[in-house]
Amino acid sequence: MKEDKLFARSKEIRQDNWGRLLCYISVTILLLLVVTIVYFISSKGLQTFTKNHVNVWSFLTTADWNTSLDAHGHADIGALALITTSFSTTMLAAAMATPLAFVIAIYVVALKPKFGQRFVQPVIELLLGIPSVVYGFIGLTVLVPIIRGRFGGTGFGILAGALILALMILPTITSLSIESLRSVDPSYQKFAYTLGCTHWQMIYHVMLRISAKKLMIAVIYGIARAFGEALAVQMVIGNTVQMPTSLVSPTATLTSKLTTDIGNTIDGTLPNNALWTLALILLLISLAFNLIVKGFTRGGEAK
Amino acid sequence: MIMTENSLTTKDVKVSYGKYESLHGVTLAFPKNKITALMGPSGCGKSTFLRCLNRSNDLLPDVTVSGEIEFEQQDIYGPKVNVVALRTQIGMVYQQPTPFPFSIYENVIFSQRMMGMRERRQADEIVERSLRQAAIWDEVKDRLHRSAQSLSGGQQQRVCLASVLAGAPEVILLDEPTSALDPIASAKIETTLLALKDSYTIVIVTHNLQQASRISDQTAFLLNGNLIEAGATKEIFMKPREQATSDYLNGKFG
Ligand SMILES: Nc1ncnc2c1ncn2[C@@H]1O[C@H](COP(=O)(O)OP(=O)(O)O)[C@@H](O)[C@H]1O
Ligand SMILES: [Mg+2]
Repeated sequence: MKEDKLFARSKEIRQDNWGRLLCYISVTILLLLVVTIVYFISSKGLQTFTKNHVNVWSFLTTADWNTSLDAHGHADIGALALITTSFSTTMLAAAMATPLAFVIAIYVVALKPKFGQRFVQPVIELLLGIPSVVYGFIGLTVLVPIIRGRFGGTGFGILAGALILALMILPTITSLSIESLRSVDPSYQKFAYTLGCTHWQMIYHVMLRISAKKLMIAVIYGIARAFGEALAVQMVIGNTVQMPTSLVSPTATLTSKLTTDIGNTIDGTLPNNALWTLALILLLISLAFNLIVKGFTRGGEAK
Repeated sequence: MIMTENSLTTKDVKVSYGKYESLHGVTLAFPKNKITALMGPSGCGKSTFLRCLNRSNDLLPDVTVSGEIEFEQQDIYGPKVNVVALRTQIGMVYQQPTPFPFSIYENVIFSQRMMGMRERRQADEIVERSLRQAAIWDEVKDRLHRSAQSLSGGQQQRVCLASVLAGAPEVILLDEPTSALDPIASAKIETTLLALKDSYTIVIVTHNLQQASRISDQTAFLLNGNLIEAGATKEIFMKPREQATSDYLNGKFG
């Protein structure tokens, strides 16, 4: 009787096995997807170097996007202008959005929690949900003319791109910052007041200090988002592959070049392969962002 | 008990959370350089009363405090009082030690830093003195720059005490400081408090009757938001005037 029960295959155990199987299948599909995407982009992207014999170093360090082949079948194609513009637009956007995001987060968490929860947070969530084409459209119709009027030129360029990206990543960084500040244990606040902190000292020396790593991660997520954003940037950046000479000279980013050209090139040719190389660079950079975040999180646990 | 000078006095202190009055008028004096124990069953208002004494009730939403509380003959709820300074003068140690996730050193020097202390050697001195006073110097002197959260609960509690002491308080309020600790750690805290009483006025909330009888000079018994009686600890324990006190001491409730 007792042994019967011990060795019986119950319904619960069957359920358990099914559940486990389902998880394994899902995880396998996910891993396969990742591997396939990485393989696909790499194999395509590397053809620029293997099949079209473009020099890797000159691809990364020259700025001329010249896809025509010379007499020997060599091409002088370089992505430096795109890489430079991508990085400067993103960093400028982060530099503009971060301080504002932190101030809003502090306001919402530590200064006016009720007002923050009822009013500011819904607004942020709303902003998070606006599609990027809308941001791009606002940039195109409002921002670019203003910049043109104020700084001359066409109005297209890094400044317009960075402003739009700043607007787009502001809600991302803000909501993640709010989350990190909220995660500071309230008993630390209590302890801080006990030790004679003013309200501001408590915010600065306790809340910001304790959540510093998480705030950094919030900023990196914002940067990653800005880096990968294509549509809105494409609408205001100018889409001319040239080294930016100022913040208001038309130029192009890795992503904007990709979205602009991918429909106009023929599969298997250098112009197409070179775009895949851009995609590969984007993939590697986003991988780098991920690793940085991992590094930060690990450091956080150790402490 | 020979009455000495009082450090803190309260008169008819009432506290409400929203519309609900939790403390119905407590009048009590805390003599300088003595230990006063606040006793009573859970929920009787001990923490509420204690929080009035350094105005940490101000930090809770919807709290109204009425009555008079004087610290060295000054009304601490007066309009010109610097509450931040008051809280370093009247320090508080909580039931659950919550040192910051910083180093032991940074935890102890924290309040001085907030007051603008920058000098390295002076900081070192204050840290050592405070940790010695809290009777934990010997245990941590070799790892001052390690995280305070790597310590045991009892050690953390004494580091928190050291952090409070580093702010140079006159009065130390302790809200059940040992109820989360094992008996050995509790005993260490008790010894520490006895040693501190020469220089500080101490108010301790405790559930533990033996603890109250071992370390306090004065005992106050609260019940349902009322002060039932207060007096020299020996008298309260040997011949309580009120039936409720006697019942409580005999374990009839609480
Ligand atoms: N922050 C608060 N908000 C509302 N009610 C509270 C709060 N703190 C305590 N109370 C109420 O006040 C009464 C006394 O609580 P407390 O002072 O914590 O008692 P004790 O410390 O003696 O256990 C209890 O009825 C409790 O529910
Ligand atoms: Mg309590």
